[in-house]
Amino acid sequence: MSHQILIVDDEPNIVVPLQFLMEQNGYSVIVAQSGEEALEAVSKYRPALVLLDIMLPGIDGFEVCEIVRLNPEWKDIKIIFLTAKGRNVDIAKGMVLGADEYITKPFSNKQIVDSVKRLLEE
Amino acid sequence: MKVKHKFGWFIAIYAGFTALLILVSVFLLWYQLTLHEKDLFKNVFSPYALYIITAVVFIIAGFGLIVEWMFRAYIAPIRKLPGEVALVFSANPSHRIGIEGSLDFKRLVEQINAGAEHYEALQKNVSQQIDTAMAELAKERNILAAMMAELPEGILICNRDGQIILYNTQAKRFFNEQVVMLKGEPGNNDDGGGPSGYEEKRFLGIGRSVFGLIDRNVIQHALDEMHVHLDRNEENVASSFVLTAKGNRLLRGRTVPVLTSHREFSGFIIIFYDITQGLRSEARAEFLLQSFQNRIRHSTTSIKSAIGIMLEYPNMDPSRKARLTEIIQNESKALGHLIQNSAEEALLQNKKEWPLVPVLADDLIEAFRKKAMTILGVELILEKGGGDGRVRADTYSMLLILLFMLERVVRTTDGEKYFCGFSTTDRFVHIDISWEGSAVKLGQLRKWENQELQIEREGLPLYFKEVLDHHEAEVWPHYNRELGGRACLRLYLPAFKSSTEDTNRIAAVLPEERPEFYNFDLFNQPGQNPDLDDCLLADLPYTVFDTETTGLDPSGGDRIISIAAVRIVKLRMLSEERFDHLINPERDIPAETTKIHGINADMVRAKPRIDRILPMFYQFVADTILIAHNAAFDMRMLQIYEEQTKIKFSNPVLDTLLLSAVIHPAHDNHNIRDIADRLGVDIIGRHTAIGDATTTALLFLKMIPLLGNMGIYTLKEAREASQKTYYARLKF
Repeated sequence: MSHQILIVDDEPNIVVPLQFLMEQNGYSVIVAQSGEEALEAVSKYRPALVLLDIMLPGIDGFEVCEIVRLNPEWKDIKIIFLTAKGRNVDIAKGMVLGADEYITKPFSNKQIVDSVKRLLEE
Repeated sequence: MKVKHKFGWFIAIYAGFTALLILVSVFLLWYQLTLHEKDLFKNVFSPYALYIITAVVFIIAGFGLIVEWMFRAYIAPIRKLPGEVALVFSANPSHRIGIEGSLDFKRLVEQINAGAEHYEALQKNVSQQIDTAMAELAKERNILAAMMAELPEGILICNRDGQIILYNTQAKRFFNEQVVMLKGEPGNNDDGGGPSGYEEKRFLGIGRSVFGLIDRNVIQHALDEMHVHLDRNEENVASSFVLTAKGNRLLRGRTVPVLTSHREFSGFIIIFYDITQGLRSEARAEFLLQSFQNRIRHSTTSIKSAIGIMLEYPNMDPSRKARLTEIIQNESKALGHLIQNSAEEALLQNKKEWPLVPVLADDLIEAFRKKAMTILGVELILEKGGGDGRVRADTYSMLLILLFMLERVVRTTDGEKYFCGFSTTDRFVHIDISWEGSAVKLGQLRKWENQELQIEREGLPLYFKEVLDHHEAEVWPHYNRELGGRACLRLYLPAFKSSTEDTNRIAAVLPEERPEFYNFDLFNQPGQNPDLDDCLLADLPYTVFDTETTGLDPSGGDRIISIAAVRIVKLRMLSEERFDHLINPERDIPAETTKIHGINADMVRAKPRIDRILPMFYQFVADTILIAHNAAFDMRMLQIYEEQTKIKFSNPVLDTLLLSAVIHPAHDNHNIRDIADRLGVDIIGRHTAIGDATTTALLFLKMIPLLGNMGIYTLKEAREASQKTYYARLKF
């Protein structure tokens, strides 16, 4: 059974290529455009990995990450922050909140695919 | 007891005692007589009894008249004389004694008045000399004060106890009448009251405490830090802090100590810089940079990812390929817009540092004509008819641009006559310099662009192109048949159409009188919390106030409709620091009281209610002694609102009516008009709250030396003397 990946981003122009990329690599994809939608999708589908943007309408990516990590039932879900926030303090904050990886935009397709594969094979 | 009554009682007792003696003597004599003698007596006097009684009545009446005459001729005038003499030789040298009395008394008064004339002449002479010397000093002081007033920084100078002894206009703009939200209830110093809050208006003023204006902790921290620097003998002893002021301004305060020649701390200066705009600009720039960065990251991610996929999967579904192509196109377009917008925003940001002001093109070319003559010796012929052209410019650098062009034209072409005019279009104002001669080539113009704006001995260390760019202006050779074949250089300046006025600074005007923004005597203030009772009257801060009301019966429902106050600090009335408000009494105003104070229902209908005004008044009078004429009435009026507003005025109070009775006990009248006549004070706006408060303040200032003559120097002495007067027993 292929892993399920949740892409959380409010920018369709980023979601479309990412979705295609993940699907081409054999993953099934769910998309959420806000923090609230993301939490709903996590609860409903229990995805193996979340590609999470930080700047979202409503609940932001940091808060989504915190909520997921505070729920013991979701402790196995991998989280990768994909964000334009490239300051060191943002990266540190993301890691402290329990993200597995922090990738700043712009990233290469290879970088993102490699990270997803590595985390899902662990 | 009044003197007249006292004298009346004395005479009555004396006459009664004499009558009693006579009656007793007659009674005893009657008992000594034999029956025969008694009959004889009766027979002799009975027929004349009516005459005898009439004679006795006349004798008593004559005695009464003599007593009355003696009182008016000698006793009453002599009682009044000391007060009148003291008045002439202290508060009002122009006052002349006009007391009626006996001939001897009149002669005495004439001699005293002659002495007063002489004294007044001498005093005027001395005053003139003092005034001349003071005028010179005042002129210099006012120049300094005007400069202080126009500084862009707010300045507060305080003595060591935090009392404000100087402030400037900018500080007034920053702090005066600042509204802050406090917890608890008004009038209660305990800030940690209930959850409900109230608004408090804070007043800036001479003699007021800086701690009542700015958070005590902030100032105390700055002072502590400053003392540490001083103790270490460091060069930089200033301490800085940030705070918010009126209108959500963010200020940076810088505290520096004022030291005596022995390096003793005697006060401190706080300089406030308005950093709101600067921070806003910085925040805006930071925000722009962040947005720019984020947007670029998003767009490049999308483009990079889409291109990567298209390269990696060349045989993908055509619809998906089209979608990815669309993403690349959209994001590329978004990037283009982003770059354009950011550049414009950055340009706008830069302009704030080099401000351009609206100016009429007419004024600009007229100034250009004059400068061309004085600097270059070139006579420019102005061509009128350009309409109402208006541009935004830094006029000096724009004039240099025009002079620069003219100077080069004169130098490089063979022109004889030079013309200048302007025309307007929707978007531009064109300023044309034209001449009869050869034209300027584009190549020449390009060379000018990187030259510094230097003409003869004038100039700026800026490049021609740089100044043009800042004005978003361009210069171009122009060919126009209307100019009759003349060569022309046209300056294109964006037309300015906004009707909003720029906030220009108003010229500093030297005040004729001393601006009441400072009082350096306060450096010698005894302390922030002195024992008020033992303080000299001359040293205390006062708020002199008056109320106008719907009537004279507070308990019967009459209410305040106007309240006004002025402050006195160090024996100087600060008319700049005044409180003057009309109040909606929420009831009718009887026509008979409107006749007195001129306030009718229409005038107060839209005014705030007492529960808005009284908290402000409470702040205004904080830490001062209250003064009013017939204060018992005004204080009773304020007391009426205690329950409604939760405000209780606990300031010490002095009453000019009672003080007048202390100073002039022999006078029967102590209303404002009579006291003002006696003390030589001009009445200002009688029966308006602010007018009466101002007049009362002037009267009080005149009373302080008169009280001193009577050995009354402190607040306690003044209050105790007031309490002994007849009028102190009146109640409302």
